[in-house]
Amino acid sequence: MSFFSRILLFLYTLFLLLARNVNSVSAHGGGHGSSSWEQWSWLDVPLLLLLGGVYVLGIRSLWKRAGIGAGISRGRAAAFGIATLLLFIALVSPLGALSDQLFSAHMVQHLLLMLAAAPLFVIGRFELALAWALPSRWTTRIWKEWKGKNAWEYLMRPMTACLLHAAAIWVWHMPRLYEASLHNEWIHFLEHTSFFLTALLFWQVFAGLTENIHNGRSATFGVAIMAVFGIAMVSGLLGVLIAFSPYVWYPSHIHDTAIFGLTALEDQQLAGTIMWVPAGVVYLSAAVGVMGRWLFAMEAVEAQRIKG
Amino acid sequence: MSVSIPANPEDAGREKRPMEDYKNPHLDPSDTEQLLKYPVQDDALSRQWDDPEPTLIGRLSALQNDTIGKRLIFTAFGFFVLGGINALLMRIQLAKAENTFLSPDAYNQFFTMHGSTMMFLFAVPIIEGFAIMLLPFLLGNREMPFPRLGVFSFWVFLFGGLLFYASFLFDAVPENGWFAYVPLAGPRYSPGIAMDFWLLALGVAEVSAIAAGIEIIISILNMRAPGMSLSRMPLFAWAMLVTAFSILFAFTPLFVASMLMETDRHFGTQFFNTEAGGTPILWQHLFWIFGHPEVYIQFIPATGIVSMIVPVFSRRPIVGYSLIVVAIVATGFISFGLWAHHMFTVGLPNIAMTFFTAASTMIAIPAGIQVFAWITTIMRGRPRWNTPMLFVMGFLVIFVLGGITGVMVASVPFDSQVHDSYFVVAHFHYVLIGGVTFPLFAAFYYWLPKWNGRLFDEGLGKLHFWLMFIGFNVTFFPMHIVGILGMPRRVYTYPAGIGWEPYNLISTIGAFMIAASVLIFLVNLIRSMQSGAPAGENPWDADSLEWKTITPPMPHNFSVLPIVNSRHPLWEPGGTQGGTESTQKLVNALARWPTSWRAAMVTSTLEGKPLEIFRVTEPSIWPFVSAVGLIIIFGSEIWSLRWVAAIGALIFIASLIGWHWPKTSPTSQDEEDAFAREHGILVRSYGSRTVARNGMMLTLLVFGVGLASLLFSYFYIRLENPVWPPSGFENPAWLLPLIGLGLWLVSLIPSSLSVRAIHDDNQPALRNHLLFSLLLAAMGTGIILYVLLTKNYTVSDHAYASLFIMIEGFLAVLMLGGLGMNLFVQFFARRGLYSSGRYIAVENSALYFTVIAVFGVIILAVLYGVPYLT
Amino acid sequence: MHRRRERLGLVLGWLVLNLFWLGSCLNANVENSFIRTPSMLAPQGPAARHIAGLSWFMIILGTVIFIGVMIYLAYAIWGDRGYDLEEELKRPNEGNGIVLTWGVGFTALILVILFGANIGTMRANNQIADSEQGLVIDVIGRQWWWEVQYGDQGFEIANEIHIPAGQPVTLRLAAKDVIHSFWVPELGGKLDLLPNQVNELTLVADKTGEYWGECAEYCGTQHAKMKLVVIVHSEQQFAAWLEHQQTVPGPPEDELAVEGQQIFLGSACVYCHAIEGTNASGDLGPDLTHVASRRTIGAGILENTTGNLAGWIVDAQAIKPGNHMPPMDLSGEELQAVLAYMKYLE
Repeated sequence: MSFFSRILLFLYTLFLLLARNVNSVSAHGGGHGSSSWEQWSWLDVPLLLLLGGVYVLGIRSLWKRAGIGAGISRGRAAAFGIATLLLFIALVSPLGALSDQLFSAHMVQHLLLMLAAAPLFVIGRFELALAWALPSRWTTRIWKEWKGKNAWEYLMRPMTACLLHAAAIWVWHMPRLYEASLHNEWIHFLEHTSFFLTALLFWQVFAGLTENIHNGRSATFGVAIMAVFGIAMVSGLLGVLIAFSPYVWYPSHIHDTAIFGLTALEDQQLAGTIMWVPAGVVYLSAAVGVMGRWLFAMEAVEAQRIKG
Repeated sequence: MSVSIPANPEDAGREKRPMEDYKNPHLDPSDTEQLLKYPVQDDALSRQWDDPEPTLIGRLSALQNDTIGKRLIFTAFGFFVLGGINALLMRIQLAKAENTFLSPDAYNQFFTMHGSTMMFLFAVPIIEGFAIMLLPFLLGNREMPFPRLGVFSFWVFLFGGLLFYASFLFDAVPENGWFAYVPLAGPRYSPGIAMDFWLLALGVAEVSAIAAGIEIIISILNMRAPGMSLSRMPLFAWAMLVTAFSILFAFTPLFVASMLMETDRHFGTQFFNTEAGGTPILWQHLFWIFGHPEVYIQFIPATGIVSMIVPVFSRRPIVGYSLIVVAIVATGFISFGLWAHHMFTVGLPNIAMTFFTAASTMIAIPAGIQVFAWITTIMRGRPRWNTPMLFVMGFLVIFVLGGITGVMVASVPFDSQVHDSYFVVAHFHYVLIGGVTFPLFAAFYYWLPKWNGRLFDEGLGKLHFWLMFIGFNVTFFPMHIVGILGMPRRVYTYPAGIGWEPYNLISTIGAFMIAASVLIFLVNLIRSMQSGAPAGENPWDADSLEWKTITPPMPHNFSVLPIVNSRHPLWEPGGTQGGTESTQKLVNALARWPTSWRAAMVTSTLEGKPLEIFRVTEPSIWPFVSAVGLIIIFGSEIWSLRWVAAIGALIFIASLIGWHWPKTSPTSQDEEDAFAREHGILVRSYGSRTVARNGMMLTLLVFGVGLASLLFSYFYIRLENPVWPPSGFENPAWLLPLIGLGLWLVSLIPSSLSVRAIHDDNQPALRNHLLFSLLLAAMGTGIILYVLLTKNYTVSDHAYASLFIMIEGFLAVLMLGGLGMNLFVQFFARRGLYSSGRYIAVENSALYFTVIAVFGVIILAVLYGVPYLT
Repeated sequence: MHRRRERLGLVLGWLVLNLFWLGSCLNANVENSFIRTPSMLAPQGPAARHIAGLSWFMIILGTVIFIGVMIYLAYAIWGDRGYDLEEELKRPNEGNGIVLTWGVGFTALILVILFGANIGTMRANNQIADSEQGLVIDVIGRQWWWEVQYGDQGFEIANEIHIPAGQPVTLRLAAKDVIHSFWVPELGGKLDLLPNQVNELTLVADKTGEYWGECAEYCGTQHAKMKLVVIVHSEQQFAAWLEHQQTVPGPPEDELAVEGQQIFLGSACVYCHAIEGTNASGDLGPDLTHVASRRTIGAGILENTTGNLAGWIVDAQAIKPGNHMPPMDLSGEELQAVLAYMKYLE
């Protein structure tokens, strides 16, 4: 990457941050009394463009070097495409605006980030594309800096990933912080980023634990299942608390739910239950998928042995 | 290197039985072919592995897996009979309307005892008993990983059960049902000691279940025969793996809940008291977080039994092995998300109900997979109809019906009618008797001949089956109808003329048919033990490893460990030979060396590769003594005799130290090194690193689940109080506890350096680092204790205060435990016990310190952060 | 042959047991008694009717599935085929398709159908709850009786709920001591009465009559004898009943009743029972202002006759052991007087 493009990247990032700051002034307060089904929030589009652009750049130089489908298969690339689309739906489409009004919509938005987009990013091997998009000098440098470092290894431990992700989920639901995120676009951005990044970390670790699942050689898939079970329980219990609460946690949602035919409490119960049951089903599917994949790989090995 | 360990008192004066006792009765010295099969060291191995002389102390110390397994099974069966008698008395009372056979209180006591006995003292222990008895055989190894834990688990369970039934002696029988809802079971509406019997006696039984669970997990993950990869593991082992994990995750919240209620009753805490910020619904959540998985904790092993028996009697491999494994794992997973469906009628949000209905029925899919896998196996095989198979058939028929009614009660509108009616009683007896007890009887008929050496009588067995099958349906089918006709559960009588009479009469008749069938079983059992036909090695022509040993098995299970290269080792030609040359050499060598200590093999989790030869602990009286100590602690609390409890605690701690007192190796270091070099395997004559570390991690997992339960309680009670901290309480001052935790965190540095030091064999560094970490951690603990003891409120002021002190107290206790562990390690480190080859204790102590630090961060973040953030 | 007979027995035995279903419509009501079979499949209100419809659907579907699976099992048992163990060992994946088709596909299909049916029923029942409602009644669970407060009308009764036919009535359910559960099978599903929460239940009955209700959550010694009667009136009757209950009974005129009142007010009765217009205002037992107009005594366990009432007053413990009413040490005359007073409180 040339000096010029580096400057360009820097300017673009600066623009993203500034744009957010300007917009945050008018981001809220307009929603009262009207449904926001038609509000598109273009605020995050540049960010998505950046992510998509980096990915495309990376994949282009990777495929150019090693052939189409090498390193990142077409399926994986498609997964990344879907992930971007989901991010678009979560952040840009009216769902984003709706989530300022309805807690349940907000919950769906968060779950899209954590349970759909993040794992799809991991499937799309975003880190690999990123490595190829950056100048190789940087990549090797970073790799040298990080590889073998204790901190990095601690971060990539299942326990750490689970704890960080669980902490992000719980901490941001504490009423003070959640309210703050609704009133300050920066904090809101921080909230989404920490959800997304810890989810990315969690699923990256999950993927690492199940790396060799397809040939039955993964010795750690059991840890992956425990991790996913743990996160399912930890976030499920928060869902239970939200669903069973006799009063509304976040006063900012109180005024707007009536437009949708829900009381604020019902809205909150819906949100909690979504966090409990449908999210739980996603975690369950991950566990069952891993288990099944490993077993059927072993089944093939066994069949091979019997034949041969 | 000179290592001086003070002698362990238990070692003194143990006599071994004379060698003649160990002559294998099946061996004919002139038969050379047999001699090839059973190598020469048989007798020496048996002698080494056998339980001590059957004197009193010897019996109390016995720890062989068959001994403990059988004891658990028969004790649990004894409780099954007691629970059954309770049920018969209830059925007599209900045979006719307005009956006065039992007083209302007596009836309520009997249904409480019936439910609690069957759930806590029969189903779970008997399953763990079968697991402990079977697993080492099924997996092709010599012992369970922690035999002493098994002993402890058995005695604790027995004492807990006896304490529970001792309530009859004190005329204080609990009468609030097996679910013990507050406020009815709370201090206000159940004064007296009856509920304390329930909470404390069953609390002890829960400890026993958790202890056995830890042992079972490690046995399955790391103590299999060489070559038995996870994917070749018998399905019963898969089922027990998921079950044992479920036990850790389910029994721990229940134990925590029991303790919360006990402190409400005896220490004035307010967790469930609505007048001081508590909430009774919290009990329901904690109880059903346990209670729903509990059903699957019983059911999953039963399906494991069925998956073992169906293929053997269909004479073909099971269909859909992998699908069944996935189904088992999915069942375990789902069972933890479903507890709300026991609470459909407490007034849950309407919106949530829809989701719960969908989620609750989901569990039918894994169940469906298993049912169709069994049926298809039968279809593609050629079934034989011996008694075990008949019981499995009975199971299939009954369970399918119970499953269908299960899907029905998962429907919120339907459940709003039948909840707590006899329909539900019918449903769960179909699932629990049909789904659990029938397979357990099948297991009796199938496996006991191996251990008794004699077969059951088939005629009596079939009579038992038919009488039980018909009796069961006669008893429980009418309950569906009477439930639909509006009869609620747990009523000691009902008015004449209401239209429920005929059904109840039929049920009572059926109950006696079941009782008669159990009598037939007992007759059959005694007859078979005395005069049954010899079972032989493999009477059923089965495929799994337990049928490879002689009958009854030798104390050490296998002289030559089998090498597995198939899912059906006894069916495939050469199914137990295979393996590489070095593995073969290893197992053969292991049949001859060592004979002076009990050597078992640790294998890798995934592929079953040999990793370590390690020493399994010897018989010891200490586990029994610690069980006594534990039961004294819990038992004396029934009468609030705190000083007796203190004595119990001293006994408990002392016996724990005795239990874990390190041993010197009877073999020389050179001998061990030679074996290790020759076979490329680690020889650890003092215990396995893998086993010890996994044991520590699972223990910490249990603590973690306990902590999670406490934190859930914190947040749930937080929900009931719009103002937090409640008025009259200030926001907690966080500086001092933060310093305490900080000191503990700093202590992690020397503690991890101590691990590095021992790996480098640097003794002075080890001692210094251990000392530093102790000092820092002790200061941290001291500060936390100071903070805890200088609160300006007491536990009884408000649920907030109760929670705060309980959770911070939990942290303090964990920290004190860490200090104790550090002291123990320190003591032996100063005597030079540890070396770069023997470092497990140091590592475990450091691991414990780290995890407690994480717990500490979470606990302080919640206790001191949440009041500011909500 | 022998084996075959055994298998046949297995299947036939089961089918015979299924005939029990046919007995489910038995109804053994006693003439003129408040006791009647409270069958959830004989619904007397829209909520119960929706559930009954769903129930029949599930019962029939369940029976069909059960019989289907049993036939499949029988087929599996009878279908002796030649096979070779060694060949079978070589095909570990054989049969997965069948298992997946039936175990996952078929089961999931059934679940989806059931879920649809459930959603329909839940929606229908939610609509009842959302419909226009006039009357609000507080029902408070006590050990072991029901306190029923007509707050807007300003009076309190016990162990029976009077409602007008065809009109949705809101019950606000709560408990004073431990958890109870309110269940009138013919009118709808149950809902718990909790000490720290008010649950709302909408009750609608199609036509006049008496419906048996009970406590469905174990609540202690006398849980079995915590019943109630829901009495449904026509609109006029209900208005008349309301008016009657709202009147405060004046002092009795009958001499015996006057004496009875004196005995009542001079004894321990007043610590637990309240009677409007007197200084008896206890709150531990049922309000007795119009006790003679009640259908039952002892929380739905005895017909409210003079004889039964006498027995109850003298020794309630014999009838309902463990309940909180102590035996009353009254002479024969005193008892007659108190009974006369009770009878006066219509």
